[in-house]
Amino acid sequence: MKPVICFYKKKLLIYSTEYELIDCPETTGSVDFLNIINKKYFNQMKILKINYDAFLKENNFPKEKLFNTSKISVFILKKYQIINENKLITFLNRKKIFNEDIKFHLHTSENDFKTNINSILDDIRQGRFYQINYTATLSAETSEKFDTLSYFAEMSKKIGCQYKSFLPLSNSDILCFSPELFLEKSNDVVKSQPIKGTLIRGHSIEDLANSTKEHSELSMIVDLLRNDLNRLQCSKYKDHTRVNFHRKIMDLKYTTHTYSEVEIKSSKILPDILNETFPGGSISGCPKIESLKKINEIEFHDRDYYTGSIGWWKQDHFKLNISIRSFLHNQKKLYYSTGCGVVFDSTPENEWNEFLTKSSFVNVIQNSNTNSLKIRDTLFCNKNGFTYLKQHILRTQNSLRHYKIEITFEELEKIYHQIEKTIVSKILPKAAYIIKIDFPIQNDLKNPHVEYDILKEQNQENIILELLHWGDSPMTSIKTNNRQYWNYLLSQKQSTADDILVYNSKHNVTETSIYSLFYLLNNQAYTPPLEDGCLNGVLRSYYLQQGYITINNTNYPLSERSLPISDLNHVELYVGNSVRGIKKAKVI
Amino acid sequence: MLKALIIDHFDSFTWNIKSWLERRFNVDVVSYNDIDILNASQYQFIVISPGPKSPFDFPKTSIFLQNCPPHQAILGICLGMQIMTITEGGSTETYSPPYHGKTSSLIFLTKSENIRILKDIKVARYHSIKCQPSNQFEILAQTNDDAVDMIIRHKYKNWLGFQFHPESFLTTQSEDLLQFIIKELNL
Repeated sequence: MKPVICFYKKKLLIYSTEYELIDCPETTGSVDFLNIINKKYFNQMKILKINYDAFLKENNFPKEKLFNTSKISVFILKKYQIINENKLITFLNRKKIFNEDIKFHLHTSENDFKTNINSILDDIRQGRFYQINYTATLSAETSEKFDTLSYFAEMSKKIGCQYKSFLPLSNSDILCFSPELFLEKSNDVVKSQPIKGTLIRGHSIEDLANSTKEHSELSMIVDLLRNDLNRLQCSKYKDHTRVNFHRKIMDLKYTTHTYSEVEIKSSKILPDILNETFPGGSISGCPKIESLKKINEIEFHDRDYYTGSIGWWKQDHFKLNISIRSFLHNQKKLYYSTGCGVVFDSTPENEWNEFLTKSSFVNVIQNSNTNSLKIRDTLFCNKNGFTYLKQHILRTQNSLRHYKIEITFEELEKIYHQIEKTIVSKILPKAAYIIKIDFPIQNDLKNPHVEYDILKEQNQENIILELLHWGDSPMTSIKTNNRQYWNYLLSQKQSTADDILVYNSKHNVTETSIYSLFYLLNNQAYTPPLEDGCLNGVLRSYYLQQGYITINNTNYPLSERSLPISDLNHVELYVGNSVRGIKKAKVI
Repeated sequence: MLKALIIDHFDSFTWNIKSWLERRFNVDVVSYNDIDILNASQYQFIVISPGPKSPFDFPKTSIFLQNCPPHQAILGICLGMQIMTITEGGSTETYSPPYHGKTSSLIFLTKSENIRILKDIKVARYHSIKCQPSNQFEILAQTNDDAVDMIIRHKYKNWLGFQFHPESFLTTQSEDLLQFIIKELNL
């Protein structure tokens, strides 16, 4: 039997090879399950693993699962030893020496990462939340001979941390090197030590200590933890939280953090305490409810055990970490996830650097963007469901075929209907939404990434366009999540323009960053051909197939025709897409 | 003890407000979702909580405020003050860069005796929206560094608004703030 290893007190560890593993059944509530465990095994030492979403009340969108563990797992230890680090090394050294060269690939590209940071920053400006914890995952292939315990021993030397653990679960092993204490209860005092603020490579500890950004970031989480611990107030003590210290420096081998301590006296027991406080404030955001929604909207994969908790529980005492800086090994694949706290004065560049700093002890290969290329579809949705559904499905099917992924219309339709059903059940009546679906370019399409947002009405009469040259980047008629070049061009436009109109090397204009182009000339309507380099827009193909386009209640016959820049002044210009419809446009 | 009610707008600081008020009040919390069915008349003091997003996202609170009798003592905190502002014909605007988890000192624009107790206070700010109250309100205090309205008082109703967060551990003189509220709203 592989051992269970878990931090205990000070520098001591719990080590056990005689245990029973109990997984929480899907249908049992987390509080109920923990209450049963508490009753039945009250006096026994238990090691717990609790997933990030174990206590979430809202249903999340189904997401791609890179790994999948039970929402709560409990090891009931029949026998265990309390050992120090040296003893652990001798225990583990009986295993073979670890000498495998493991290379990690990112599951989120630098581009996607920064796009998501920008979307978070937009929400912060709107007042949706003050700060949020955004995470991403890396993975590596391992050989047949890969031994998780040897790797645990190897990484223990590299990663300084107080709350490490090794858990042999039923289908995978977790190797956790967390520096963060989520909750500890001892003699009816409940304590938390949130960490925020990371020393970025190239800066000094003084920079961290003096940074107002890092100061605010930790202060917010301290207020959030105070709130969550104030929820634990009980009639016996009627206590209120205290901040025991604020912004102590924690020096780890690979980076430096700041952390604080909050506590309250409470007689509540573990199942109720976790129900009030999970998931932890430092790995969700503030205000928490909106942050959790956003995390679900933008993170590509289910967090599963990551950012949940691991720790020990005996009688009414427990100590749980926040499971970060952690690995999971499953079927020759090793996963590592890490994240960063985003606040108003964050920049995509700095957050990306923080992400790399926290991954610095694994061997990261940074240029694996093809993994993250997705086929994107953007739809309009209200309580009646999606519009132009047939055209959307056809386009996605064609795009997938381009990448040699074969799927029938009916199969794809089923996936769309499922997404439509989920979204319609969640959205407000009367409001209009924009839905973004990213399909992975692989044979298993069951869990595309879905985001939705209220459609902001643009009330202006004319869409103001600025003319820009598309440049050397290849043009494509396939819609994907790769928006890097568009984002670059958009950053070049003047503030008076709403969007950009691009032209190709033949000086023919093609489209805007989100609209197809239509124009009227001598009572005929035209749209540029795909060969000129424009995207196969859903509204565009709908009107082309129908043979005419309706503008201001008049039907005009529609066909494909290039539009040279020199003709721009002689035509009446319109733009349109399936989400926002047709709008008049003007070029400045 | 007097009875106080917090109307919670899905915020993460509500239990800190409750903890702060409990020194002087018996406190109940009700969710924004249940605002239509609550019996407000049994409470001497009502607090409109902070929360995410904009005051226009919580129309039921505006309606609730309009229906309260003018003598009802009400404190609006952050989003709560913003809702008070738009309910009484004022406006709000995005404030950039926002103040999130930062502190400011105050300057006082009133000669009121009650507020003197707060003269050295440092207040915690968590906002990306600022208020432009209508002439129904008197501005009692602004921030020293960027002149944003921080404490407002309704001229004809028993309402106070705080743009800052009195419950934050970064705000000093939290006990004095309670005393100020009690005097100012005649509790």
